Amino acid sequence: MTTDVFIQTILNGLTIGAIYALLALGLTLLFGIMDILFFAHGALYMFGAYSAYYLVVSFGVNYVLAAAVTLVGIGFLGAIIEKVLIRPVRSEVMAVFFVAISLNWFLENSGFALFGIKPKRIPPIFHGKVDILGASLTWERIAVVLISLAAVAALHLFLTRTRWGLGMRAFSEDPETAELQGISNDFVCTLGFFIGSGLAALAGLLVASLFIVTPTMGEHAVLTGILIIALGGLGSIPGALIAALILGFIESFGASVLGADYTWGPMFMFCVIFLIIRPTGIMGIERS
Amino acid sequence: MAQLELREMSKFFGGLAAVHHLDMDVHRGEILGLIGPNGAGKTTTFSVITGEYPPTRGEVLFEGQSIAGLSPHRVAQKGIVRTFQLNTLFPHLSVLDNVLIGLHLRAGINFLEGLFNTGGNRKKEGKLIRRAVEVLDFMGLSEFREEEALNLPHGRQRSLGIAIALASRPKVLLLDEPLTGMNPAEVEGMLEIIRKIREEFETTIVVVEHNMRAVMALCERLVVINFGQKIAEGPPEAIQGDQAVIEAYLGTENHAA
Amino acid sequence: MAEPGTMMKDSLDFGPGPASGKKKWSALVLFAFLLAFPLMTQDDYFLHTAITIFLFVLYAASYRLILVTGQLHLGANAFIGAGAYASAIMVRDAGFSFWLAIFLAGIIAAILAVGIGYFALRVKGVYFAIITWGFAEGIRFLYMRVESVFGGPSGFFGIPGPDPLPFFSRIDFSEKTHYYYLALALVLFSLWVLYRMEHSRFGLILDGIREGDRLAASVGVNIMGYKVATFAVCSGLAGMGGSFYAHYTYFISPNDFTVLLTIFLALYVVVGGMERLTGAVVGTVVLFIAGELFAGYGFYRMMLFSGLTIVVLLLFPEGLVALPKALGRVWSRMVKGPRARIGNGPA
Repeated sequence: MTTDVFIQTILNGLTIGAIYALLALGLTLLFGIMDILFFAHGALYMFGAYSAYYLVVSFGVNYVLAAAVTLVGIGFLGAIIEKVLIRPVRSEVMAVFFVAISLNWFLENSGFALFGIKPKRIPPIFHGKVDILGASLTWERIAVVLISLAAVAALHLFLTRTRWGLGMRAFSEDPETAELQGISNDFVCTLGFFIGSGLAALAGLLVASLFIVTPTMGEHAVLTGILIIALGGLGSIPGALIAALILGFIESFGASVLGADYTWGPMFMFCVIFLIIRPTGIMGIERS
Repeated sequence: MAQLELREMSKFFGGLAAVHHLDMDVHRGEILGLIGPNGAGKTTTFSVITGEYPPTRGEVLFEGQSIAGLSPHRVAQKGIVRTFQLNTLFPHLSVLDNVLIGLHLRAGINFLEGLFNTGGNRKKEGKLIRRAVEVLDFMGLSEFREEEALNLPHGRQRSLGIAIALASRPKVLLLDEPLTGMNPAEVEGMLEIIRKIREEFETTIVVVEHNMRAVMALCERLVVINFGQKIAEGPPEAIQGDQAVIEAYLGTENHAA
Repeated sequence: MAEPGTMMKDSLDFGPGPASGKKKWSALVLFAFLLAFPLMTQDDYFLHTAITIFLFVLYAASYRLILVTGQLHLGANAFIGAGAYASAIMVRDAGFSFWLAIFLAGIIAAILAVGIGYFALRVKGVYFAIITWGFAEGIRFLYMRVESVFGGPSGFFGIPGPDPLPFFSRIDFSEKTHYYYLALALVLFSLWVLYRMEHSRFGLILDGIREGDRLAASVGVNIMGYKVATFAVCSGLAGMGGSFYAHYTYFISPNDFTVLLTIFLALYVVVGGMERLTGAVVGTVVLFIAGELFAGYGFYRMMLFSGLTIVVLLLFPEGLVALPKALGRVWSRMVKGPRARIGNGPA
């Protein structure tokens, strides 16, 4: 592999990793708070992408405004989902899991029905690119990575500095006493879904400007997301971020070396082997 | 040679020593009390003996052979069975089924026989049920046999936990706080049963308990540990007056001296 | 004669008893119907649907037992596919007889299950799911890359049908009816094995492991042994189903055995009701037929399917099998009034 291809692959891996990080962040939040693998995360990611597409391309809305509307809209959708579908079966782990899977299918297929099969894409905001050691990195991609970093930082601040965020963390550690601190558990869960869904939507709309948008994009995304959070250690945010980068690189190198169709295999094998050796993931978080 | 021996046994979790250099002998047929303040390492000791954790250092010998590091079901096969403080039973199964599972080591049922449900299999199942009923009678639980285990009143649940452990006719029975949450009448009843177990089955019994009156009445010998180390050992009368023991307990109760 | 004990969820069967008489009659009637079915319809479409349903019931029932032991298994497709590929290779390329191959395919699937189970069954929940799912994807990757052996992405062609039966050489599998009876025999055999496993002492120990594995280990139960054995038997049965599939459709490809298959099985089991074996049967039949009825409606079909599943999960968490009981509760509350206390004495 020549140097410039190598560098290009690394840069691609970085971009992919940044987006995966956003996805994993949302999933970790939901898993960390409520101990559920929210499969439908992928569908919300997909809806985020389409929402951005329609707002920007069909209605000519300003990109930032479209992003804001999308994030808040999908966030509320997530909150509604939590209230109506998840809360009734919150105590039954398997029921929640299957509700989420069914919901994912439902939303994905409604995506087919609503949006059609033809792939779509949003034109990038930032034009032009930067050359690094023979490889090129578009400003759009740099923006994506920066936005991801900003989102991670914002989430970190939220969880460590705000009352709601601290309430969430208290809830994830000890649901019973957390309520005594003044924030109702129901609210924490709904808020968690709001933020998690918002993150999914953010990842979706960022992808919309870089890659294509199809109704099935959520499937790949959520499966990869679950792989990432398991690799990183369920419930650990730093672990999820590290794992996201690692898998981003593996996917990038896999695509380079084996071809874009064969990236699944190496990613899976890596995770499986790692988890067999160290079942609690990179950060070694054990959840009962 | 004692039936069960711990030789300089230590168990570290991370950097923390839950048990430190513990030397302890358990003699065949005795009723031994393992006491100490909360967090002293008593339950950890049980867990090491039964194989849930391997000892970090030291030896665990049963009838002269090392059992350190054996997995729990293998330790049970050797004849050492314990009860638990929490998770004492199989909640959604009937009381009878609970004991039927406890009979595992004496069941001798073949997979293929069970598959084809041969006449031989049915006879064996019948025998197992009779044995389970015997255990329930012994523990005074016969009337509850079809009841779902989690519906039992608390005291009965602990009896069931002991019934499950007893079903396999262990050589050594480790009872982890069998009297928790019992009123005085129930305590008396349980002490009677424990003595009966030793009488009828010649079982060696080690009890971890916080109810001091009961411990003094029941146990022939006591081992006192604090912060993972043995601080005293001897018959109840000697322990009651032991200075180190009194300090250990007073220290954790924040009494003015 | 000893009295039968009772488990909370189902009876420990020690032999025929008066209560099961009605059940036995209905089972016999159903069996007679299934035997006579090909005589009632000559339409290949119905036969094919029936055969497919039998296969899925086999898969779902074996999958259910693994779920019941508390393991979130996302790799069932791997063992079905392994059985299919193994059998296909043995018959087409190594000249084995189908009757030997289907048996060996089950063994191979079981051995694979032991291999992966030895590691995977030490963990639970999501970790188990990831490992089994990763294993399944890894095997698929193998099928796609090692084209010389497995045929690659375009699949494995030209799989021969079963060779004629040893004595009844008229049954040469040239007609769908032959396949129908073979599939029926296979699924009945599997259901029998699974039922016996669950209702013998083996099943009692599995319940114990699910309800309290620390406790079960403390009385001598070899937890890993039981989990691996269950995993192996269930996967072996599924592998045999896969082998049948290969020699029925004459063509298999890696896309036949994706995680989607496992998820469908999971939905069949959960919607039908995990409590009892009949749940897997009911769930499979109902959802499969529902899917077929709406086959022409494209995306709306999946929406209906998944929507229906969500509704059942939210309103009937115990599954469709518990529907009569749930309806019975509603009925008795309507008839007897909300303040009726059944069986309780004065407060």
